[in-house]
Amino acid sequence: MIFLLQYFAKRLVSIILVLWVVASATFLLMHAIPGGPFTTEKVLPEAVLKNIEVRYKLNDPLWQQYVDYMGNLLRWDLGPSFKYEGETVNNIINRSFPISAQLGLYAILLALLVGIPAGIISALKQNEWPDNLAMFGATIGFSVPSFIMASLLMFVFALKLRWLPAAMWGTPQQAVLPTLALASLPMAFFARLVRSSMLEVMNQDYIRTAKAKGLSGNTVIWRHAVKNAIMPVVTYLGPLTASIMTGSFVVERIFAIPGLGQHFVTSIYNRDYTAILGITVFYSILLVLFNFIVDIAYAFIDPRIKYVEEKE
Amino acid sequence: MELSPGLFQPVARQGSEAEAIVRPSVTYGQDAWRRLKQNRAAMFGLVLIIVLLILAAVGPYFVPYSYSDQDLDRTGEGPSWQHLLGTDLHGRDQLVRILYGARISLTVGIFASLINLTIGVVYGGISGLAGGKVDNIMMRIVDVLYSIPLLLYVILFMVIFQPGLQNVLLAIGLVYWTDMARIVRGQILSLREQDYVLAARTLGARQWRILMRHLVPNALGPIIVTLTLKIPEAIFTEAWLSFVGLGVSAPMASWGSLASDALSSIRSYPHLLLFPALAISITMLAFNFLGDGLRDALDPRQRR
Repeated sequence: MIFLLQYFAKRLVSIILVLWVVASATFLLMHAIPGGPFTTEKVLPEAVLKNIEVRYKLNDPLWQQYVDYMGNLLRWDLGPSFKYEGETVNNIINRSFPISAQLGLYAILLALLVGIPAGIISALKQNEWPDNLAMFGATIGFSVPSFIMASLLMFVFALKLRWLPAAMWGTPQQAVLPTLALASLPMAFFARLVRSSMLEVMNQDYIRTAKAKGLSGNTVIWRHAVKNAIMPVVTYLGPLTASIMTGSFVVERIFAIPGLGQHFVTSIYNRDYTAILGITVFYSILLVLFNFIVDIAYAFIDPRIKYVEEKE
Repeated sequence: MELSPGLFQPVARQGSEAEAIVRPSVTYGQDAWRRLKQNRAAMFGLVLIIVLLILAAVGPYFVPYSYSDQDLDRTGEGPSWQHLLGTDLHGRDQLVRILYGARISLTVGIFASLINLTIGVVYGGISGLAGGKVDNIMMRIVDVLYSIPLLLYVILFMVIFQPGLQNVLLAIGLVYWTDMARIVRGQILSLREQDYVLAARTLGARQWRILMRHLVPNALGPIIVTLTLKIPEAIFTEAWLSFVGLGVSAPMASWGSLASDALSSIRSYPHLLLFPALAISITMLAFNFLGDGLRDALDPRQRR
């Protein structure tokens, strides 16, 4: 238990370090851009430009801006949007992140609910038609990028067959296509991951023991094999969120969903520096914390893991 | 059956021949190649990649148009004998644009592997061989880079640099070596305690020579596998950036920007999306097949 606490404390320190580096690096990168955020617009009168710079404190020395920025960040104040008058980055995130989170959650659930059973069935029926079918599907899901998948799904089911709406967010029907597009890659990944780990587990000694002591086939599979075979899925939940997140940048754009991914891409187009900065930091915090939670969960699920200092 | 002494003959003394190895010895590389050849999916992937390389290299010379030539009488046409894959909304030949897109994708893939082989292998190698404090600091840097999705960095870099192929390459090069560095470090950590390293050190070999002549060649299997998995990732990133509008700029075309352009007119001209979509997907498929096959073939545990 003491090792576990030490491990968590160590992880927490490294998380804070990572977030500090990310926030500083993003800040410096954004300020390394030649010209201010307002120079790409139509030429403004000198006085107006001065006023804007004073208003957004752009003529302060860089260290002063950095200190202000870090201080605001600690109070979770991401500052005003440079592009939209009277809009703050906090507002943008508060308004659009719930939509992205909802879409992401649907996609993760779909990926888990289809991918894991597909992997288990594949492993149990190795090299028979269910396995071949599932692995064929997984190969497709693995090779077609999410933006292509989203475009094709929209073309076939929304524009040609007219079964489902092509855009916007709100009704259950509108959620179907974006969820499918976003889930296709992780679904394929889970199917392959669970299949290979299931095949490995089925060759373990404790499975032979379970069979030898006369347990029924189902008990062996569900109580002994599956429980251990889906363990790698937990470790993949961290990278999965990252892939769902980057996938949502384009999927939300294609289906015109007013989520955070869409706003992020729009702020890139608009060169809305505070928004890019704020949303990047927000995403980073989200991912780092999520990875931390997954690690903690894993420590409790898998009794084999002991967080003792590794000897090298 | 009657056994008589006549049935037996003394074996002639063979001397040194007794020591001869009857079966030809199969090296690790030959063995891996033999197993790779038996894997139909992997060979299919390999053939596809070779075809793609040839098409990208010489293909554009066989099409009588350049990627920016416009034929304004024939805009948005489907496939015909004059334009095998049809034309886009500006009357440009789709086939030659997709072939140029293949050049871009493969350039990105080759560049990403060069970065992995140089920065990734050297960084991971030095970190693993040095050990101690140096290793600790070098790996913490990788951890920081690793805990944030690489695509976020690439996007940030693309916001700062102006879009364009060189900058896509630069952005990918800056971040896409961390996986390789981690894997090489892990390999080196276990290899550096081996006796042949001690032997080399006793003979007076320098650190760099030990790393490059002894350790890296022995870690080649995992390096190659990581490489084949990083190539499609880099190709995907370029297509993604171009799709979002941060990649190559018009009139140059990449598969991502072709797909993105097609999206606005998808109702009337679906073929404009179909061909670039097929091109990306088949390329990713080929690299994934080859990567899976190589992983199985290079795995020493599966050696027979």
